[in-house]
Amino acid sequence: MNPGLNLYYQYNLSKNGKIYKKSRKRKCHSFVVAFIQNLGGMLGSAKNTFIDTGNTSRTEYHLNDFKTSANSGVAYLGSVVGTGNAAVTINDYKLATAIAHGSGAGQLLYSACTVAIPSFTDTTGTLIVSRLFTNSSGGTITVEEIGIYCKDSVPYYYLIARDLSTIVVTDGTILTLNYIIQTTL
Amino acid sequence: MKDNLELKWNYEIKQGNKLIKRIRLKKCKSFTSNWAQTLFGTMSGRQVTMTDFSGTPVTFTFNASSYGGGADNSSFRVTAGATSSYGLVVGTGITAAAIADYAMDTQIIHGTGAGQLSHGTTTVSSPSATATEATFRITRIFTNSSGGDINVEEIGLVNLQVGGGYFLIIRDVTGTLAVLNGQSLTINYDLTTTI
Repeated sequence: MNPGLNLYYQYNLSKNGKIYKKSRKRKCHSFVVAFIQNLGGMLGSAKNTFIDTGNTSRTEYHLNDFKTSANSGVAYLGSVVGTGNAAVTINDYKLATAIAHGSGAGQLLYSACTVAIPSFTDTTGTLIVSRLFTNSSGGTITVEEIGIYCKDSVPYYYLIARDLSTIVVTDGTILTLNYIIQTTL
Repeated sequence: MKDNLELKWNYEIKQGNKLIKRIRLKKCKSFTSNWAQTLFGTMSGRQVTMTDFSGTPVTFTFNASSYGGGADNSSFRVTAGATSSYGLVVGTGITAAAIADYAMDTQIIHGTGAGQLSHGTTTVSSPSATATEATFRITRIFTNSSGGDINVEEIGLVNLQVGGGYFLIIRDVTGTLAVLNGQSLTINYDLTTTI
């Protein structure tokens, strides 16, 4: 296992209470520039600028702001999914084509996004961000991209990570997406 | 394979303006449990318990609005003046880094007395980005005016919480960095993310 800090994702697909697919833990590639800008601002106690999810340049005001937990139905904060397959770039500021919350065609129901209390072993520290996406749209939806939206306390919303991943979510299926942030000695 | 968030360090030693030694960037290994707890607190908005630099558990909630705003309201702040209480710190201990570390093994205190180093300010550069990576640097200069030689063996990063207290978030054992009397030691931490 690599020492340092790494971001992974893992997902489950379930239907009628049964998990029928469980992915392995996969390494992400894609903290984007706003992650570094906000982390640098917090460590430096400085008001860095970043591009929010509306493609507007913003200046950090409060500096405690990696807020990721979100209520159900909120598709602009927390872990998010989309159908875009444009290659990830360091300057990405939003998903290419986000899937909206809802039960209409092409929509998924977003549950609350939770951040679990970190767990530790002698050599690792692990933080898990989880969210369920339920397909009640009446059709199959193919997720092609995943990401994490954070907010500061103004609030401005910004993307900190984006990855491409093809996940077929049939009607009636629940997608559980887990982001795993892990530090290893 | 690169980490998603790479943490590296390097150092240089100078005698006046003359460069004595400089090394290339080396990979760090040692985010402590306080790092994960801080990240959890900021991401979740929930209460956390962290162990401060004196070994005391401290429970609090990261809530920017309750701090009233302003430039100092960072849960990760490491910028510091001439103090060894927080910022980039050094020590003489050689105990292996552990995830539960909350203090330096044997910290070197700010000053000009025997075994002490004068701590400059800890600065954090503005982030910069290329097409594939984004990065920033944390730096501090330590000057040896103690009258004797000092061997630095460990380095770390201590943040200042707005709610009060100092928390070790990174610690690494470096091997011996010999800083002779009259020399200065510059330590850099680089945090980089790469697509």
